[in-house]
Amino acid sequence: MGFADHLKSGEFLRIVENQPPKGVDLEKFLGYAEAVRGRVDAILVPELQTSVMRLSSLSASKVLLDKGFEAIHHTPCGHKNRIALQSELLGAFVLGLDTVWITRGDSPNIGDNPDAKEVFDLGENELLAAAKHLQEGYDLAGNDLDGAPSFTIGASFNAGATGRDLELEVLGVEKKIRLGTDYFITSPIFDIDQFAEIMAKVQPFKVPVIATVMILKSIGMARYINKHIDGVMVPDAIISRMMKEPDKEKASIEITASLIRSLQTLCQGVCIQPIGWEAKVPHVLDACGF
Amino acid sequence: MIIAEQKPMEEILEMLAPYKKILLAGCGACVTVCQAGGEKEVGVLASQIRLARKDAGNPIEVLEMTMTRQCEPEFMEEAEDAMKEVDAVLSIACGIGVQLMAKTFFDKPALPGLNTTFLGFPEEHGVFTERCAACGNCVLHLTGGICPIARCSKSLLNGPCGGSQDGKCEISPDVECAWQLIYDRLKALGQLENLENIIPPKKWITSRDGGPRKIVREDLRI
Repeated sequence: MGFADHLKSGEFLRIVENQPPKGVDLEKFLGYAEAVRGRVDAILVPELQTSVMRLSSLSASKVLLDKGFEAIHHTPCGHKNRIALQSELLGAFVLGLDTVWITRGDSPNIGDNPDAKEVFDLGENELLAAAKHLQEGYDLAGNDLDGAPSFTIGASFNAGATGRDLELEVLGVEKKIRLGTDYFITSPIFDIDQFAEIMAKVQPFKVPVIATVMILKSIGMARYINKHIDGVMVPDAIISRMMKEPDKEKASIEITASLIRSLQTLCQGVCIQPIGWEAKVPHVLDACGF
Repeated sequence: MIIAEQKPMEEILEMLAPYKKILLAGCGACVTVCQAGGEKEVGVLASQIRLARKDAGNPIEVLEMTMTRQCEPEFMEEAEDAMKEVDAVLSIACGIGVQLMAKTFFDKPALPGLNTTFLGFPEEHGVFTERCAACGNCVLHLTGGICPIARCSKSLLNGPCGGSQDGKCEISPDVECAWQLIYDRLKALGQLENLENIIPPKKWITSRDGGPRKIVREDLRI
């Protein structure tokens, strides 16, 4: 059963994010994948997340595919122009990676090669349009293709949008659906009530939404998120729950699992973002009863 | 200086469609020199707009003004009285001027009559060429006073790329190969040894790649 079938099935999907290595040693990367084999529906392989230079999503996704995993290839816009991005999508398809996730991507200046030239030739919507064109048999400039690919296309939205931002975000979701989005993977969610608010507006579009759940490793991490990451807010209740628990690791796993359980009635799946705690993902799955 | 050129007339008329009375504001600085937005161009464009709207059966009143410099707040007061009378301002200054008008006269639309094109100088009468990319990290001392960022099509810091022919760039025989120019100039200066050094990868963070730029000069602040 491929990812497209999973989406259609309406079942609650379990995705885990697995960062490619910064280098060519695949041992840990494959180890983390093996640890969740059969327990997740797909592995999302981020491309140059936070603009940190590492192995490409394309290569790492192909490695996973060859080992029998369902991989989601990630194509952000920040570091390649429209020629390279379209070529990358064609490349993904011929390698068998027909589930892709398209996002805006990050500026190089937040990463580990901050002097790099920023590209952003296309934004998320324009790249979605390019993917649509490719599937219709021509490129963004209208040139015919010799064989058209076929994808299951994902996009993202900011689940932390509130007030006026919320209206704008919902408009954006609608636009992305018009551009061919088959599923969404959201920004990280800690506040279930707030997520319910945006889901009430997004649900009527009937496009599957997969909520990202970041494993909160410490109180310090929660405070960092609240201070520096726009659109993501860790509620005080979660911070105090973590403060009260002497075993922080246990608290972290329980918080993640309880978020996932709450999300089961709100959306069509979760994408667990381990942020360095990949080894803890099986414990989270245990705690969820998956 | 900043080089700009007038937008196509159809685009200007489309922008002006909702308005009955506008200020056409030129600028006495760069765009006067490159003959895109000075006093003369204000007069010509104002007449063209009036005629086109009259022909279309939808006349428009156009006030004319050429401000000393549209890029400095101290000269904004020159437009204060006129701005009270109009529905919008069509600025034929560079994009900086348009934005300062928009910021100063917050309740009136500021429309761009020019496309701000590049930083350069007149090569000959009526010919303007790009010379500076405002990248924030000048290397002209290493390259014989010729900018590889603005003038090499690939912005190569260690050219040439191998695509030039007879000193011309592979993108067009009308474009000179910047690295040929750099070589010729360094040779004339007796500084060819500069080419033996490899310039390290550029820190693009000082350019637009690091986000919108800002300089704070504490020594100048009051």
